[in-house]
Amino acid sequence: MAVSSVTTNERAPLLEVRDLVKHFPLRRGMLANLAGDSEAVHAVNGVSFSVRRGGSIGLAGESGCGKSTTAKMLLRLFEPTSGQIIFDGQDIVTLKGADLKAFRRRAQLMFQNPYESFSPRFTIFRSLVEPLLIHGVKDADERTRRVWQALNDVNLQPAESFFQKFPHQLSGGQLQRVVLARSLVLEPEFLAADEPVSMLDVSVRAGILNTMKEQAAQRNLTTVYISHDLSLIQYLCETTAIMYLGQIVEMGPTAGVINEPQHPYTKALISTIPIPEPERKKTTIPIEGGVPSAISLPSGCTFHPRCPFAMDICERKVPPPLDLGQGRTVRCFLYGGKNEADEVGKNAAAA
Amino acid sequence: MSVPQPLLDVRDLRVEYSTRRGTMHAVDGISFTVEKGQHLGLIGESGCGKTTTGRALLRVLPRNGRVGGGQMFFKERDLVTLSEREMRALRWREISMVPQSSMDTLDPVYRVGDQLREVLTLRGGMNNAEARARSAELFDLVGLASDRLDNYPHEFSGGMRQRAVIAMALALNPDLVIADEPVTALDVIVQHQVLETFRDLQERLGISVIMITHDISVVAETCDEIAVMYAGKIMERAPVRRFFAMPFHPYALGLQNAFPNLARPKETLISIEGYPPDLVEPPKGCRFNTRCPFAIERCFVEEPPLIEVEPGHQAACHRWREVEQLREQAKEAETWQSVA
Amino acid sequence: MARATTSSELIPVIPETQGGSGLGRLARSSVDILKRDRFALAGVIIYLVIILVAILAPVIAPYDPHAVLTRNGAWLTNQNPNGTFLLGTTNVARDIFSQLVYGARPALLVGFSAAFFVALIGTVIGLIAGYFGGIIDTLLMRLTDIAFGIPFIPFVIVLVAFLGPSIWNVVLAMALLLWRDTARVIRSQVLTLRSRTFVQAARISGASSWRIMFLYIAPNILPLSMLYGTLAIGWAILTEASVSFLGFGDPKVVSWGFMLQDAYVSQALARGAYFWFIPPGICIMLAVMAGFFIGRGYEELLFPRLRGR
Repeated sequence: MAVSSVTTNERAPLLEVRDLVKHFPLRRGMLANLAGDSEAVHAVNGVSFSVRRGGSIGLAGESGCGKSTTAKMLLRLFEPTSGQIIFDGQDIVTLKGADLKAFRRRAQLMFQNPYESFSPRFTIFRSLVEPLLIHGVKDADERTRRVWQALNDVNLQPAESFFQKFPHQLSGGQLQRVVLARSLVLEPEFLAADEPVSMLDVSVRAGILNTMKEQAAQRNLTTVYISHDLSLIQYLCETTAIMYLGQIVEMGPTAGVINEPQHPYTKALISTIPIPEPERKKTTIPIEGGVPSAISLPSGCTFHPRCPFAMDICERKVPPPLDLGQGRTVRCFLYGGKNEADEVGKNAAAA
Repeated sequence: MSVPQPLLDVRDLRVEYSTRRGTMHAVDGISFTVEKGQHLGLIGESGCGKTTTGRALLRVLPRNGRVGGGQMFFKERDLVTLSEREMRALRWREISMVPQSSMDTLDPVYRVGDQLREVLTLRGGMNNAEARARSAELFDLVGLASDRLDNYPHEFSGGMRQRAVIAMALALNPDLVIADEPVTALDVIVQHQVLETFRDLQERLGISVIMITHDISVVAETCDEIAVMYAGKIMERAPVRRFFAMPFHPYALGLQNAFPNLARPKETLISIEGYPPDLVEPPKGCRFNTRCPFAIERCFVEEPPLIEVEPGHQAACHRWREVEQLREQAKEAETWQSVA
Repeated sequence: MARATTSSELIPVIPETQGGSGLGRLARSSVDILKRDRFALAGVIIYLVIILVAILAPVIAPYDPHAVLTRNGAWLTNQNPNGTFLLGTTNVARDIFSQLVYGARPALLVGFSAAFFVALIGTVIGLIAGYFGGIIDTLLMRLTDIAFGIPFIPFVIVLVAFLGPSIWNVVLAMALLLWRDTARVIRSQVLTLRSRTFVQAARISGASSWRIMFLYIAPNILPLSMLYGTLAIGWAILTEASVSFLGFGDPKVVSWGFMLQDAYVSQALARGAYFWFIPPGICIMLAVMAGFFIGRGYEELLFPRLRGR
């Protein structure tokens, strides 16, 4: 299918992820391969979701749940083990060469650590002009104008005063704005952000989140936010997906997922988030132990060993995604799905 | 003595670092007290001097740092003037520390239990049997199964390691534990479990804790008192409930705006524009004046003292009498954008 | 701020080349190091002196180092130092001082050219192995292991014996073998750099492998190559001296190692003619030391924590 930036249907998803899987083999080398040794870290185990053009989704979960790996696959930093990533009607998993480069122009990623995001030997201008040079913007004035514009858009003003600075001369907050500016300089349609403010002081976080929100709205950007912090996702995203051990256990409109969580894991996760209100009485859902190893996943529902509501079936069968209506899905037998008839297939999810 | 003395009474503490550019006043005349069994949350952004304060209390400052003045009375002894030998006797037995990113401080080549027992025998003077019994007790206290004592650190998850470090800090029954960002690197569920452990300590053992953190939600959930630090100064001190209900200092108002609250989502989060001042050459007047939307002329000339604004609640702001009006204005994003 | 406020006239045009090159910064911090590190400064001064002597050798040296000196037809052999012959003469009546002066030339030639090749080959191999990984890495690293398995001095001797005695063959031997240390260290450095966020960011921008390797990674390993280069200078001078001393040197070139060998075979040691063998020995030592001093300075530049407080 041809790459086209004009979609006929605004409701059609710009990004659709189908059954994405990523396993990192543990042992490398010829002997292991000959022995057919397939021990692996099961980082992502069948993730499916879609985002409409201009929409935003947040992937939340604890460390090791596969959210960052998913983001890196969306940007082709990791090759998926299996599954499809349909971007504007085209599966980008198999893209190579010039097609991949064309995709890179349209999709960008913001990293967590702003201090690490720039070559220490490049000035800010140099770092920002790089994407333009790579994508063949020939006119030098045009390049300068676009760099200036990007810096200006992320509220680094006067923009030209940042041109000759080196990364170590800027504060963390300023640097993360430069990271955002670099992501925007190619005028992409899609932006993923992996824990964009977790390294920054609380007093400056809000400003950066606001700028991201503003720019996403102005540019009609489709965004995927990765964070362990649900309050951040609540602030930025229309859809929230909760991940556990490489799977989306619950997904739906953000307000619904956070205010009325259904999956026992989501309930536990939300109930343990500290709230800046000392008066508030909280009831927490106790869950036992830590996240099991992603090398040997628990059978059935991977959450069953820690789940206070676990039933027999949870140990034996993988719960299918169930449609709860209003765009919400949950993978839990508490809500049905024990019979094949209850199962909501991919068709229903896409509808 | 008729009036009971607080466990810890810090008066006008100053800590300086000598840097290439000159003397940096990292902590510049702060005073606070910690009562027995009390949990004090010391909060502020990076570089505000909260970690330095914690390290100064144990006199374990980096080589270029020194206490430049003030007193730190702990059980009526001034920690500033104690000899190094007396300090050594006091560390761990009376005041112990859970250092920053301490889950990485366990030695990977020794069993966790052996590291714990070493503290008990070498520093606590216990024999092996006593140490064994005590370490099982400690593990139980922090919610770890005692059969995990024979594990190596890599067999523990991050949260378990953090709890093992807390167990080590508690080993010799200290009166005061200084916990520096004890949950920052942990996932929320584990974070919750560790914070529960701290709350438990207060209820069961009556241990005092100074919780150093950047996260006001953590303070809201675990502490009785709060002290907000900014650029080496304490800007506001209050019982936690009062602080969240009636903040007085503009920095505190700003922080509460900037903090997301899952239970009560805000339409817009507002950040505090700008960044903290250079502590080698701190500005005249109030330290917060460069970022404060309410700064008046006086704030650039005269440094506001920490004033009692209501019983047990102090703030360092010249305009504290107008606070009700300021609180209203602080809710508007435009107010904060006017600075910079 | 709204995007509509843009005005291209507001933007000062800044030539992209002026973008503050990493090399310029490196040069500035090199100067800083020299200011603070007296050893590195001493190293640089020693090299400057040797370079000056090498260039001005015909002016400084009173005689042709190969010339047999005679007076009234009689060979002036085994003269002690005096006003005419500052360091005396050899057993075949050559002026030792002049030999010492001319000896700076092969030392520098071997030192710098070998260092250049060692740093260049090592860097390129390390860069390619580290960046591409996989089969390329495996092949190149096994090649490095083989290079590590070959004993250096015997290899040089065999090569020189095979190709004929020439200082260029010493350089060749070094280039063929001594890149191994550089390659290994550079490779491990590239492995860490490759996973750094800014390199991933360049990939996200669509940068090609070559662009990432030479624009993003290479500038960050350049100081490390320089470090191994400076260390190789010392090694090269030492190697040339050893080879000459063992008698496999170029007989037409007077080097410090050649002088030592000459002194040794004519039993200058036994005769106590210290003025013959001590000066070239000191020169070799100084040149090698200077290389290490500069290397040490570079190390501090690379690993700032080494800097004394």
